[in-house]
Amino acid sequence: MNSDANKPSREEVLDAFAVEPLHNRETLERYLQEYPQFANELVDMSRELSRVIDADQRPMSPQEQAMIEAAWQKHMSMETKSAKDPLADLSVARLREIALQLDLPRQVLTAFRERRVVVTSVPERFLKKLAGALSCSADLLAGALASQTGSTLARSYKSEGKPAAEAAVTFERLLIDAGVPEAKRADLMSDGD
Amino acid sequence: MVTPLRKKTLAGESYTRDPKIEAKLVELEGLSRDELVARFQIRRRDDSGYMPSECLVYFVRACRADNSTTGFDRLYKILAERVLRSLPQAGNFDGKTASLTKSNISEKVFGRFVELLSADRSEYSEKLDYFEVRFDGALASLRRDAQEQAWRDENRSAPLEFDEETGDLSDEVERAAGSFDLFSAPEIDGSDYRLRLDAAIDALPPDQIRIIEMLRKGIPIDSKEAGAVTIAKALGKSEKTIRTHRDKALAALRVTMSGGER
Repeated sequence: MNSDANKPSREEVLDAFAVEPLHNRETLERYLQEYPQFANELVDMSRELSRVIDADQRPMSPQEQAMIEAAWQKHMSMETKSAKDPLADLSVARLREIALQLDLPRQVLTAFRERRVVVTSVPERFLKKLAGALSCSADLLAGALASQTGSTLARSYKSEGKPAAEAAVTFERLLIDAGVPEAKRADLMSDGD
Repeated sequence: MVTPLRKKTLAGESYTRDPKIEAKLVELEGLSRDELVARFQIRRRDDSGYMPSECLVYFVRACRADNSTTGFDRLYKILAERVLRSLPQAGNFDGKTASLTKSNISEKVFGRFVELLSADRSEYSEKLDYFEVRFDGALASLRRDAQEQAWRDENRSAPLEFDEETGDLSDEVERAAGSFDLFSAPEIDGSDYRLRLDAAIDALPPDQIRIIEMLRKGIPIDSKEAGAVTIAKALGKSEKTIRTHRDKALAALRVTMSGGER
């Protein structure tokens, strides 16, 4: 039947709407009927879809050319790096955006980046969400997170049992420490799949 | 030979490309990189030789399997350029704040798109499938995303308040709002008018923008029919509130549009 695990995410609904073949009243009404909880976003999307873009043939400005060149350079160089650590290259702004997107305090994400989370304590459902936000596969993310556990453990051994600042904590502990409310914690900890 | 898409629709089936796109991909598949680049170099959409961006995305992604960089940089840059051209320019039509917002949004969207492409190089990214289904739509989705963030940063997301004091607009404003039909003004065909109108709408509070959009689509403010989609229901406000804010929006637009150069 229709379990919660099958409910599409907001992103999926909006993207599906965005690539519909016809963007008329009928389509918008259909989505508003079926997903009233996303009404604001659907109407905003409808506006974006009907926006007239002045598709001119102006030459690219020097800044635009620079942007394109920079993007290409990064694309070619980033290949191997992102294959190893999707969290490494995150700018402060991007980290903030992802935190907003996932509705979590930023420190939760930083903990992941600094490998202060016990990977096995993270529910698969959350890993998938985080991977999605990072535009990589869950497997890649899990692998990257696991690959540096060794150094974290070594440090906590040195502290002789006392909880060191860098020792890894469970995902749930991390959420509690970050002040994530109980209801939200329960949702994050559940493995819908 | 043409790799199928992986992303599933809301109904659970795999997305398929438009048959015309699929046909073009088959046609282009056998070409060398140089020939491909030549085909994609045509910029004008109304040119009969113009190759859709959906196809370009396919080939840029397909480079994943091929280590050679020959021609890849040119294909990539053509795609990047097309993305930039599809982003709203921070024009001279509106106030400073709106221009900054547009620049921020364009930068964010470009950055996000580039990021998606890069991620896809190491691991198939289903999100990019949307760009092969409908490039313009998928890009609009990135723009909306960026706009939501920008609004949040600017604190523009505050919901509609029904102002008790000025609850009923003066007769004059009602008349002004009603008599000026923004969307069928004689100059409507001029693209300059359209862009100015778009910019003017962009400057309104988000809920007013939504009311305008729904009105343009022909959705009624309220309805006697039980299950009908209405603006009031969608935005969760009373009919009266919606009307008031519609009138405010139209009045504001009228002022902006007639205040400009003739």
